[in-house]
Amino acid sequence: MKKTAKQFDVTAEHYYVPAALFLLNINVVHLIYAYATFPMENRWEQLTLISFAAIALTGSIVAKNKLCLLGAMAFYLFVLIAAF
Amino acid sequence: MAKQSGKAERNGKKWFWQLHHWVGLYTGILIGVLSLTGAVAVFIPEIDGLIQRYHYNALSSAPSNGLPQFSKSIDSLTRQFPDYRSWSIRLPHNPRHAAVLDMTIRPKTGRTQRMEFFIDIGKDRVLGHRKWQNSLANYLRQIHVRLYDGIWGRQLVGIGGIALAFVALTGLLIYGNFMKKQAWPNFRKTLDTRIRMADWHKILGMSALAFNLVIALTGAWLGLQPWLARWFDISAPRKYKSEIPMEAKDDKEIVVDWDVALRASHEAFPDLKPLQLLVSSNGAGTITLRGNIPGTIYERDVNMIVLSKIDYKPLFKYDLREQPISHQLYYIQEALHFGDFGGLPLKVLYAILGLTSGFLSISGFVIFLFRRKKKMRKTDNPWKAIIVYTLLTILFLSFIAFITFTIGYNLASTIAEIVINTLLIGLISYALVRFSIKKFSQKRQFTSTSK
Repeated sequence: MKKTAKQFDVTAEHYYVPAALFLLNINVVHLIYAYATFPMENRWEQLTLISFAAIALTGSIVAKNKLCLLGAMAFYLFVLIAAF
Repeated sequence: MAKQSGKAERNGKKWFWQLHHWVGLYTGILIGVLSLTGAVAVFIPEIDGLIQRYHYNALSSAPSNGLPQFSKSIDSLTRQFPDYRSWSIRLPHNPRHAAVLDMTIRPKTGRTQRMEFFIDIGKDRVLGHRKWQNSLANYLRQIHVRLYDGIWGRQLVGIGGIALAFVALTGLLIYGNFMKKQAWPNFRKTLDTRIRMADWHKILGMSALAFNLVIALTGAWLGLQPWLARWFDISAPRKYKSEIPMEAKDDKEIVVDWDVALRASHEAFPDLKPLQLLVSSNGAGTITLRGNIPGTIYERDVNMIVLSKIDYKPLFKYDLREQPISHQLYYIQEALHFGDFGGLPLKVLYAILGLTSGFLSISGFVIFLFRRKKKMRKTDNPWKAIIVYTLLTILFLSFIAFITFTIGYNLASTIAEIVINTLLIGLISYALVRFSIKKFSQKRQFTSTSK
């Protein structure tokens, strides 16, 4: 793992965090759209998954852990693809 | 080998930085104007609703049978304006709001006019009217969609969209190089304005990148649509061409029973929420009901049903959910661009994120001016230039709005065309002259050193 003197993970900072932020942009719009339009009684699973993805993405960006970032991104991509 | 690839990578990043720098510098003001006007434009229906309610006092009472009533109002208006060319009625989203009859009137002498009449859909009476072209809603839309420059303003906005996509992508490619040992979202501890602005520029730019890219690409498509449609032979996919079985005069005389028409539409297309109703006046003998299907992400009023004026039987149905993906892609652009698919909270998010591109254009300009000051050891204050440009832009937008509301759209549009095209020619000429001088001086330097 390429790290600087300040224990700075270059790959996570320069590649994974921007990618997670990119997906978080989409996720926030998706989340608001879902809460505004999905009927709670029969789409609650989807609402839960999108909300969980938002928490996972935000948490992984704060934690900046490579595995968490990759996992959160993969999870949201799966939710997004499944939504179509 | 590794050294060579490292050098090539550095050269590539330098190129991306150069592109980011020059494209941002020359289109920054356009991106800034579009960001500001776009952040307001997402609220056009809400702003117009408030104007109708408080300025025109146009409110509806509850209809007695649950269906909107407007037949008498339409009848009286079509008698009052027999020279009308066409009309459509827009039903309100909120039943407390008034319906709006949009009528294009072509008097025997004078210009064609588009008038809007507000109708109480409970008591079926006309509450007020306005000239559509001189309204705030039209100003907000036209200034964002075509900068009030009818000749080629829309294409200019499209070019602005391409430029924003370009700076967003090049920004992403040079991000790592510029962050070096800096973590997101840390700011360096310094009083240097250039460094502080650079930190804001990188962190905000990266945080709103996907949003800005979507806005940029959809904006480029919407702006350049007239050119793209011509070049690639693209036309709007929703097509319906009716036969003309009667004389236009007879068609105009048929009285529509709107209760029956709305019920027939609901029966044939239950998911459609009709919002715009049109009747033919060319002899087609049709009633068109356009509207939305709740929960879908498509532009307003794209779903449609056409009924016969004689027996109210459906003649054509356009349900976008059942159409090919190319149709859906065509009609998703405007909703994605204006955030018109998730209610008011999504519009607020769109406005906040939309303003980031304006902030990025200003912060980019600040970085450029402060760097130039340091490099050329200039003594003037760069903030002066930034404040002057910002104030001039706001003054221009306010002046065009003032002319629209006091004199009219046509004069405002002419002034905007002159100002924008003069500035554009000036900017292109300045860039060409600057480029030529630089090339000439480089050539002279080269020949003098080789001698």
